[in-house]
Amino acid sequence: MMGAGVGSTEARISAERVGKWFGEVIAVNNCTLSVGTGVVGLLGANGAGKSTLFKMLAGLIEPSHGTVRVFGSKLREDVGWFRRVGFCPESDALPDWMTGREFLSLMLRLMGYDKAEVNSRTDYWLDRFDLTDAAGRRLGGYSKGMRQKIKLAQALAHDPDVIFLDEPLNGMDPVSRKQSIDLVRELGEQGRTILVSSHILPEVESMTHQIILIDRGKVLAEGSVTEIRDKIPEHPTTVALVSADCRRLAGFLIGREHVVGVEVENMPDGDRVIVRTDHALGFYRALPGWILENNLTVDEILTLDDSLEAVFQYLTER
Amino acid sequence: MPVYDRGYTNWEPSAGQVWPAWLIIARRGIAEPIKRRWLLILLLLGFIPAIVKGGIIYFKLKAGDIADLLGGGWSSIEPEGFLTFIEGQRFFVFVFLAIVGAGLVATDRRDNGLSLYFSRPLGLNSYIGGKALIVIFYYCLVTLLPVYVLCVFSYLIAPEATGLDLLLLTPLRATVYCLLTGGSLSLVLLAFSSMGTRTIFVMVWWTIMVSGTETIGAIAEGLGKGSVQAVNFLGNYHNAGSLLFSSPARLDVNPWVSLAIVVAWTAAAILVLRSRIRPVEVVS
Repeated sequence: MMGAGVGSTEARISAERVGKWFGEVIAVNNCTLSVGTGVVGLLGANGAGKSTLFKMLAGLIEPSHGTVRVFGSKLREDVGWFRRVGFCPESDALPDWMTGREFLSLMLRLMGYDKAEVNSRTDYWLDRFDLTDAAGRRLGGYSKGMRQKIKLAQALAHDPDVIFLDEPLNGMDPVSRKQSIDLVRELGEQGRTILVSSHILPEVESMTHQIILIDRGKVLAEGSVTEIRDKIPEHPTTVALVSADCRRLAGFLIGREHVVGVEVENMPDGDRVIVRTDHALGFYRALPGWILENNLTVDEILTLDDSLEAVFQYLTER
Repeated sequence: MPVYDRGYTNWEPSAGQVWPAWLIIARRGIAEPIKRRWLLILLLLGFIPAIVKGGIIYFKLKAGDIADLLGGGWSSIEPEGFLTFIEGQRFFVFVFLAIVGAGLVATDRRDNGLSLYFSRPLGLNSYIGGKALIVIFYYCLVTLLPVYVLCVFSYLIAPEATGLDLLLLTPLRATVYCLLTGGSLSLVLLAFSSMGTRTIFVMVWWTIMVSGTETIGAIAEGLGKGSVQAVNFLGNYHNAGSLLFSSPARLDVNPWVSLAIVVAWTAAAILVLRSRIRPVEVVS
């Protein structure tokens, strides 16, 4: 499941057999991956090596071995590429003595903009994150959600092509969370590459279905959730079909291509057919034809374990 | 065009003036302490010795040897006299550098400034250079600036007595000395600052370095073991400076030995900085 690449078009971020040792502890082990445009979630439990891999990809940690390239270049060897990269760190520690405006202006100045451009971009991004009223206040007085927003603003304010967001929604209120999710999706649709690191699965699921899954320092899988789900043979995908004639439907499905198990489940609001398939995509493609050709009735189709959470659970055996 | 009308734009060089990253860091760091009123008062106090020396020079140039007797080394307008003046500023150097420099890297490490800085087009040398410039600026503010003012003042009140040396050679000597000393001190201070995330920790080490070693040196001198004065951290800078100012050694140590010690401190500081400053996030 490794090496196929996630996101679309050419790889903007690529890692070739990268690894990182901290003393005798291996944090990341021989990871190879590539990321194109769009939003991609980097998932892993705490301690899985996610943060280390993330920072290596962002050019902030030097790999012990292997190579990371962004736009085909090593970021630390040619720091000019950082103008096209945005990074939002996980920790909410910020220079508390600076005001929001000072902080954002400084971050933009370091990108190489003149004063007029810095002011223009600072105003826009403060406004975009509803921070204009708090712009003159010191960061030390900001709430956790506001700090998260100013961190996001500094990562996005220079219009980067490649954006690294480490736990970007931590501490945000529901409204800000929704705005930020929408913004990330919008940026992805604009053709930017956004790598979102998180251990909160629904958060990632709300932004993208393209994921890289890491566990115990290794990349377990990369691609879309459905693609990955299909490639877990020991856990066939479970689909529930709600029908007025469950017994006939179940009898028909037994022995069909991609179907490895069928049973009828009695539910309080009626029966349903539980189908286990070893190739969910193939099954979904074939199902409408079977229904039409054989005059079957299916009122509702539910995928019971095609979620990111299920994929994560199966792959990491947690 | 306003940024919100432009949509998705890649970075392009700005038409206006753009400062290099090290200068942006330095300007920001220099401006920050000036906002504190008590620091400004301290800065004014740091100029008092220069005012006193200026007064003594005035009387010397106007009243001749009588003022010389009163002022001692303070009245000297020879290069040595200015090294003595810089040496006399060590209390302010110690205090200012501790206040301004102790937190320069430590707070960045604590506040994730390093990962934020290094996710921008900024190399390690630019970062260290910018931070060092902040320390050098404040060092020069209490040493080099008064020397310049005193040189010009002395020349203006008695051009025939002082000569062009006071306008050219002495300021040149002072400039070279202060830039090299300020540069070296800044690297040592930044190295200490890079070793922790708490400013107070750096201040303690800086106090031990400056006051502690000076005390040890003074005790050693009192016990007749002059060579132990080589431990005097700031003293070695002044002692090495005597080579540049063509003046007698300031310690019972060969000035070349002091120079070697200063170079060793600087090299060690660079090694520490290169190994300690990493764009790694501190998760609290």
